[in-house]
Amino acid sequence: MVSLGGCQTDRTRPVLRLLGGTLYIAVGVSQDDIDFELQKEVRQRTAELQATFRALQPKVRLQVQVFAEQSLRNELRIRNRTGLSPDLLLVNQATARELASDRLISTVTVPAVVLDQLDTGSVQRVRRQDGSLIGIPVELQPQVACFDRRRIKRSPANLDELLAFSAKGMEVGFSLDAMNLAWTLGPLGAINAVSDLLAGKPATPMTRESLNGWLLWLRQADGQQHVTVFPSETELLKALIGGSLDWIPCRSINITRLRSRLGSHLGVAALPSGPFGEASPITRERVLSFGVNSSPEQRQLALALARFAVSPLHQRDLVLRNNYVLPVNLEIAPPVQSSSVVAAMVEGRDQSLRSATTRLDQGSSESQREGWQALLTRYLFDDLSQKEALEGLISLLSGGRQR
Amino acid sequence: MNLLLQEIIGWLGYLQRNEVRLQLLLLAVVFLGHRALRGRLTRRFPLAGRPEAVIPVLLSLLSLSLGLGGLPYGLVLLGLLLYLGWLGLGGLHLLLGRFIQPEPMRLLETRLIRPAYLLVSVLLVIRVFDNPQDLAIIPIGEWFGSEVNLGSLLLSVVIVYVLAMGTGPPAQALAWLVQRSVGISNGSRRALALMIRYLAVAIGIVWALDHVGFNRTAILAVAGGLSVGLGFGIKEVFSNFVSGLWLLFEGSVRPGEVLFIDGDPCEVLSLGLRAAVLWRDRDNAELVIPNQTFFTTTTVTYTGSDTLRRSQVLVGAAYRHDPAEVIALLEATARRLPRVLDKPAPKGLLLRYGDSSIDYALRFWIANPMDNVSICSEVQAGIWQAFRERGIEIPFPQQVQYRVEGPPKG
Repeated sequence: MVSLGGCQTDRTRPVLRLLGGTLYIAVGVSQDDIDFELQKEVRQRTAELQATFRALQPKVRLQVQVFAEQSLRNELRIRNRTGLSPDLLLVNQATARELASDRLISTVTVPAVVLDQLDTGSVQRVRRQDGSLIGIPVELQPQVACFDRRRIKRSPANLDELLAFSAKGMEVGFSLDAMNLAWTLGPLGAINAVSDLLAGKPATPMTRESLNGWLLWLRQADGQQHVTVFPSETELLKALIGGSLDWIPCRSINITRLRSRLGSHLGVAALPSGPFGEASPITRERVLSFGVNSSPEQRQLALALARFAVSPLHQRDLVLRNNYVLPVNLEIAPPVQSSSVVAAMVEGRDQSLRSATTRLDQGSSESQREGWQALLTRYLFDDLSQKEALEGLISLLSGGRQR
Repeated sequence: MNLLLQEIIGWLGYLQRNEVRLQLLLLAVVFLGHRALRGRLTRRFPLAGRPEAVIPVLLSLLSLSLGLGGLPYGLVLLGLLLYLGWLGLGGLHLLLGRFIQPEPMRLLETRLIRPAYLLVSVLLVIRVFDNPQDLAIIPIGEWFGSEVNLGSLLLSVVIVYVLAMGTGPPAQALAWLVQRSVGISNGSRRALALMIRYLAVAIGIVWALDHVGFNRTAILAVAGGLSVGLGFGIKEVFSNFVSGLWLLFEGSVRPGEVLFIDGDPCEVLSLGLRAAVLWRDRDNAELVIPNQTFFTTTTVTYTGSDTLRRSQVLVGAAYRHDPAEVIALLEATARRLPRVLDKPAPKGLLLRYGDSSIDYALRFWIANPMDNVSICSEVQAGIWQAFRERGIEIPFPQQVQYRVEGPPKG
């Protein structure tokens, strides 16, 4: 375990000493999302971070490596044995939790003065029972609706409107990935059913009814001529850029890529609500975790960088540089008045906090999320009946309690 | 390109870690130190003279010790695995050597197996120091209007290399199958194998260009410019290449064909992109002849429609012997020799009445044109023996020299 702050010794005050050397940062991304564009974005962001961090530590060099989050566990097993593990890992909070439970990353203790600046919920989700942290939350990536303004004037406000727009020719794209499709659970009244099943509660008639309604809506939507389902969000982004789709749900971090291609034609809004309430998107929380092989100097640098990453200076920079992420530092208020995109992101984050979707993110395993996608794919391709899909989904989500 | 260099230089940062330094030091000590110690230890411990035993044992013990001590040991283990893999290549050599001839085996080893092992080793080392997938998409420049990344370029080069070097045996196997099913000649089989190889490499190059993402319009434009360059600058090379392809399709100069070059029968060993390689039996010489030579000059072949050759030896017999008896004896002699074909039958001919003998010719057919000289030798030796047994004289001009005493009298 390592300590992030403190003023006891010279060694634990990295920000006051000039350190030097190379810091290896592993960035975890979804397997489906890895492509050259993403790598370029990751390198660009790392270069920006390095440039600003060098104001404090001029001799530092950041070397970034991009990995699929799904393969990080195996990667770290190999790298930890060779002594070549990264010093820092920028990963999803759920991934950090899995890595910590396998003891593949170091836990940290952070002084209250630092944590008090950060979003309480985010900190709570990375805290272990012994008070240590599996990482430090650095940014939030809410889910929003992205659309092409040349084709539609505004994003649909609710699911009925979404299907109505689609019936008039608006090309809609969905990803069947569990994390990306979770936003539809709230408007269709299935969010509590999913949450209860993941929490280990038995399936009640109401659970079945709400999940059944959700499945029916999915099939109805899929039956529309202008609604297309895709395996991953990357496909959605490419289709929106290519002009074959007009409206997609998208992770805020991907707005950079869309903006670079669509320019001012890109519209961003909050996801549509439904008869049962608001959208229930999952906000991805990115955390900086610590590797196990760092040299003492690298560890000090890593600690200094992590502390810098959550400092108001850098968090403000994140927002001002249009990185399309939300800060975790409470001192930084996102400029919702001046930017409709930021307003949509904040609304997306608030929606995710209000709904029970966080359990889907934290309470589900990788195999459950993969099973979800496989099951829905078979269902929408008529390989499974309504009843079979419902039973399969209940069985899949109930399996979460064994975790 | 700078990005790639930065990435590689960045690996040096791992040397900041004591555990990494320790592992690299141990590897260096084992691989370099065993040579120094070998001389001293071999007398007392004969096994110490065998690095293939000492190095794996030492590396295994060191890995185990590091692991038990709670220290990272992966780099030492990687060193051990790579060394064992290298030793394994020796075992593979012995195994394949049972089925493959020495020369093809040497080519297979030097052109495919060892380069493949080297590539895998490098990738394994990169795998632990970096993320190969990450490195693969590093752009290394913009060529032909497309941004080329390291991975696609490397993959394309490897695919084309493997196709160029490794398609020989599969192409020959395919050609052999065609020969078995359709019944083509050996020469056609070899030509077919070569054409399959060219086709595979051509498809590989087209695929590689496509995979790398070269702009096709830009390639066409460059090809257009290149064609002008070809017309002036390297037209000989291009001419030889096109001639080679043409000859392959035409079938007049294929591997296995026998051609007459400067009066000697020569067998075509290979028809390359630039030149054909022929083997001359007379002095075991290999002739490298540019393809266009065959394209523009007359070529004499004994293997065009069949491989038979009509050969001939000349002999003289004294005037006192009955020509009919001599001719019959010549024909009988040829028929007795196993390498002379029965059909068409050997034919003896009276050619002319010479100054000191009646000159005969013995014409006979042989199956392999390359054996002409040795069979002619056998036939002539047989004639000498037969003439001796039958008392037939082979006359030869005789010269009488007189010594002149003093200057001629005027």
